[in-house]
This record gives sequence, C-alpha cells and structure tokens, in this order.
Amino acid sequence: MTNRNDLTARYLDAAAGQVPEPQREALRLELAERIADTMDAKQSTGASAESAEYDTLTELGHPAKLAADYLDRPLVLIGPRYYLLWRKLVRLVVPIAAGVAAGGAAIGALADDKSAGAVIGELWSTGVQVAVFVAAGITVVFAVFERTVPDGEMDPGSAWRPELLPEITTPTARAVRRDRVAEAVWLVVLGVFVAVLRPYSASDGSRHWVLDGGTWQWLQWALLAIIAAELVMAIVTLARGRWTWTHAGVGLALNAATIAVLVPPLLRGRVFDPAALRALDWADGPAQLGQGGHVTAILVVAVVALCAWDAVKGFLRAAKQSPAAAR
Amino acid sequence: MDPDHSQHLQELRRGTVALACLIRLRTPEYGYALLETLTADGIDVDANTLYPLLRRLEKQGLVSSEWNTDEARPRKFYTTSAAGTELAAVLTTDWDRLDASLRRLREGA
Repeated sequence: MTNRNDLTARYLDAAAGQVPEPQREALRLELAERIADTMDAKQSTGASAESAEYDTLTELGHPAKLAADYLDRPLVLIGPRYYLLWRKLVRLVVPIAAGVAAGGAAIGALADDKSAGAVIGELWSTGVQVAVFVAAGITVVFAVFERTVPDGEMDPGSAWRPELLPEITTPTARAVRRDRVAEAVWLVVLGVFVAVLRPYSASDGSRHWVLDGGTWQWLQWALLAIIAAELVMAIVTLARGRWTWTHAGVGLALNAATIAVLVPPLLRGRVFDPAALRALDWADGPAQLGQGGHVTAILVVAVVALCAWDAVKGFLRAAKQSPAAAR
Repeated sequence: MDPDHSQHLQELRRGTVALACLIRLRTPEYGYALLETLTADGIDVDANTLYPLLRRLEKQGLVSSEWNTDEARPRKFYTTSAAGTELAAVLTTDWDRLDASLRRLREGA
C-alpha cells in the first residue's frame, strides 16, 4: 500500500481499533493532540505539512504497539512471572499425558487386532496429538493469567523458601536415575507389546500377525522372562543410584540370553509364518525371511549388534564409575 | 555514542524523568509543552517515553489531568497530585543522598 492520504485519520483509526470501546475516544483525543503538536513543532522548523505528518507518524511507530503501551498490555505471551512454572508444567505433564494416551491407544488398537503398522501409527499419532493439545492448553491458561491477574497476586515465586531447594544429587546419580527411568518405561512398553502379540492363525484372516505359532509359543515366554529380568535390574540400579560390575555382568548374561533365544529360530527361518507373509501379499517374503534370506541376515546382525552394544555400555558405565577411575 | 555507554546512561536516567515530571507539573502543563521544557532544561527524554509515562503516573494517582477546550485544539493538562508531591519529596531526598554518596566514593578513592 502506497496511499499517503489521510495518514493521521488512518493512524487514529488503527490505534483506536486496538483498544476496548470505553477507552477508544480517550486514546483518540490524546493521540490527536500529540500528533498535531508534534507536527506543529516540525513545521515551525521548516518542514512541509506532508513530511511533518509522515515523520511524526513514523516516530509513533506501529499503532498496535502504541495501543498495547497505552493499555499496559503485555507484548509477550507469558512473562517472567509465570514462565518458570509454565516450563515446569509443560515438561512434567506433556510427556506423561502423551505417554499414557499413546499407551491406551496402542492397547485399544491391539485389542481390535490391528496390524503392527496400524498399532504403531495409532500410538504415534495419539501421542503427538495429546502432547500438542496439552501443551497448547497449559499455554492458554498461563497467557490468560498473564493478562488478567494483577501484579503481586498469585506470583508462583512468592512462596519460595530456601528449604525448598532440592537435595544435592551427584551428576552420576542423576544420570543413572534419568537413564534407568527411561529404560524401565521402555521395558514395560516392550513387555506389554510382547505379551499381547498373537501368532498368525490361518482360520482367522483378520489376524495379520506374521509370527509362527509353534515358535512363538515358547519364544514369547522366553522374551517376557528376559524383559522381566532387565526390569528388575533397572529398578535395582535405580534404587542404588550407581552402576556396578555385577550389573554389567548380569547385563551381559541377559544380552547373551536374548541372542540365544532369538538368533537360532531366526537363522532357521522359524520365527515368521510363511502363509502369513503370503497373506500380506509379500510373495518372496518366505524366502527373504527364511533360512539364508537377506532380511534374516539383516535381522540377525541387528539383534547381535544391539545386544553387544548394550552389554558393552554396561561395562563402560561401570568402568567410568569404579573407584580406580574416580581417583 | 558507544552503544554500551548509551545503555548504561539510559538505565541511570530512567527514574529521573518521572521525578522531573512530578517537579515540573506543580503548574499544569500539556504533553508537548512538557516535552519541550524538559528538553530545554537538559532532561533528555523521548516522546515515546514521556507520553506513556504521563499515563502511568496518572493511573497511579501521582498526577491528575483535565481537558482544556478553550482553544481550537483541545489539550490534556497534567498537574502533580498531593501523592505525587509527596513522592517527589522522597525521590529528591534520595537523589541528594545518592549524590553525596557518589561524591564521597569519588573523593575517598
């Protein structure tokens, strides 16, 4: 827009439009006085009427900002008064709400006998949606507080006392805790997933689990036992607050057990049901996932690599924390 | 001017504009005239600072205002209230105390 006519009238309209009706006329009058006086001063030093008006309005700045100043309305969504509380709530509530909702959605999808892809899709989309809604909801509440609660009232920082300071935790204890909590949550999710997985059954076409019934009968329990043992180990480390050589050893044994139960049936092509793979329109699936198949090789390497890395990680952590390293 | 210097100067002067207004407005004055008087007396103030400041002082009851419609252009005249006069006295005392302290610090060093 390059229309330079009626600039003052347009400025007054734009600024007055930003404030509620009762204050509109007062702002208009004050602003008109200010603009006229400033223009007079500029013209008295030789400026033309047009350039005086143009410069005056330029100096006033954006009418919305001027109106916000006039109303003492904050130009930030959430100011320093509530920012820390807002951040704390978002960090605490959003992951829990998203996790619970995603878990619920996944269990619901599993109960409906949906495919693994559909279950993961459901889990992911519900988690993201709930996270966005909860974060937006918390933000809206604080933005309203920021604008409606007068200064000095309901200041979350006002009740702070020195004794509220958190206990001192060593960096390692904190790292152990964070790590172990994440691992425990992951193990529970994995355990639920393994527990509800059903093998393929030719009599019921809607069940598209591609697992072989005979193998899964024992493999399911073996995996659940390993997950349970890992969970116990995670909780014990959590309670102790440190990694030890014993834990590294137990971790090694559990990873060896995982390889021992998963790799032989994978190599022999006994984990997946060929009929189920064909039912999924994957014609060469039985060959790829069978004995000597390419996908089989990738899976075996992946399982061994993950287990080996997990075992090595246990020893690295124990070594970092052993008295010899601490000195 | 060095941008660092101007920021510190601005911080140092922040409260003095309010005090200068409270002192000057013992006699009624409208916005632009006040701006010119303060500038002429060596109180550097920007219009974008002064007008919102006047409104804030009015909201806090430190100045009162009245529209003068005698002339062709209606103008809002501000006057320091009783509470404003009281605050100006407190601020002036503190200003003098700070001045003395700084003088002692400079001479003692």
